[in-house]
Amino acid sequence: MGIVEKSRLKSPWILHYDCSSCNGCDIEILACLTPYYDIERFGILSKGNPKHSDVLLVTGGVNHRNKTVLKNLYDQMPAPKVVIAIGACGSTGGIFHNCYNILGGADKIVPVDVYVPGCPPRPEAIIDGVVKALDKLKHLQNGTWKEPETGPIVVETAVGAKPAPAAKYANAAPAPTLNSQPTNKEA
Amino acid sequence: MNFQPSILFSILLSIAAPFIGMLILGFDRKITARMQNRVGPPILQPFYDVVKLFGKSELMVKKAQILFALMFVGTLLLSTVLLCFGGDLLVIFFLISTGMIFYTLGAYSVKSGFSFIGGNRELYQMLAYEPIFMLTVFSVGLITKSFRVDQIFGLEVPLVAIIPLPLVSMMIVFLIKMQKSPFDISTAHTEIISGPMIEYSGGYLALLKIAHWYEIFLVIGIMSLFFVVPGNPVLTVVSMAAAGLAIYFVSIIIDNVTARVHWNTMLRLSAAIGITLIVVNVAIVYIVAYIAGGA
Ligand code: SF4
Repeated sequence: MGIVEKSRLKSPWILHYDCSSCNGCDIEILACLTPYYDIERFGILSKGNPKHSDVLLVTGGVNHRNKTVLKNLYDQMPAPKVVIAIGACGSTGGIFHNCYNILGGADKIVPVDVYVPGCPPRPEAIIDGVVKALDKLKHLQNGTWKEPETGPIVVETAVGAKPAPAAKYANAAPAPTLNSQPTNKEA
Repeated sequence: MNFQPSILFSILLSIAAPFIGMLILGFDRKITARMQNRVGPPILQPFYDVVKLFGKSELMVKKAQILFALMFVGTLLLSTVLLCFGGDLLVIFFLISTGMIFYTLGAYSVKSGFSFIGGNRELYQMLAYEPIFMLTVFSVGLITKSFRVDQIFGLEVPLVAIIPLPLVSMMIVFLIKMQKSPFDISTAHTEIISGPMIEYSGGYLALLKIAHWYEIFLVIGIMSLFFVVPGNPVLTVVSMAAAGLAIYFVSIIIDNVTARVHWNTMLRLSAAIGITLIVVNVAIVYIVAYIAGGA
């Protein structure tokens, strides 16, 4: 790995675009910037400017109004770039998917590299999504963007993930997960 | 007594200058993070950023913009070399100002609202710090009877013992040049998204980052000239480095405890505090000299 490739992994700058999110996902993204999660230790900066950014975070489903904005932002980012769809809405349209004005997830307009499901996803999952997106950047050679061999990645979140406790934690009490809450069916 | 820095040392210093600026910036981000109870990025983070930017695809808004970015770096490079070779402080000052003009022209050369506002604010900043900077250079000139940097090494006592107050005023210049709050007016991140730099991308943005490394070295270099210990090269290097780092540390603390002010306030502060301190100090020096001469 050359020095440019290495630097690329060390300094992903983020552009966050809110398509039509309910702001739940946006608050979780902002939570990543707080001292508790401190994404700057990975060199991640939130830039707010497509021309300076490498990673596009899309929250919320795409509608007829903002599809051109999203396309515009994507086109203004210099390559190599990756797109991460955050939340159920960003991935598929979520609970809004059959609203009359919603087209669907971000992948209807721009090529999405990583999906981070959850409503909203936890900040850890979002950080995980960015790290997975950087994994895809490793497939780049000589600075030109080639379609990565791997398809889009879906980040595993607490929902539906199978816990695999290490042997030394085998006797510990099970950590509370989102699954332990009663679902509508059981109630 | 004349202290002649060897040519080799000057050449090495001018090559190392941007990297010194880069390391200082890296430590800045780390220390800022620690003050906010965060872990912070690695020390070499500014370096990774710039290398990454050079590896990005080309995206140009206007050719003129690139010319201005190159001229900006060029003038700063020239003034750094001048400083390292003990050149004329006044020429260094004018070169830095010229560089800033190129930077502003680069911001004005594109049709972008934020870039325009950033350019305007850059000019307000120059209005605030240029008089202080110039008067400081003049007061150094008054003491050394010359504007040449190497003359400072020939004084009997360190400059800070004679004119300490201009150093305090220079702190305002320092905060403005380092884009630190309360004076991070032109590049206000969450407000106008790095202002003059907004339309630059990839390698051209990297050029501006490198220019900032040069700026850091230049301003710290000029301020630490006050701490030259005449006739003692080893002590001079130690005290200059220590003073530079101490000044930077103070600026990090100020950055972390203040919020951005309106450019009006900045102008008022720099005129009221900055210029007054310099004038008072130079007056004191003259009165003392007059009394000593008359007695
Ligand atoms: S996924 Fe949930 S939290 Fe995120 S935008 Fe959609 S509804 Fe809001």
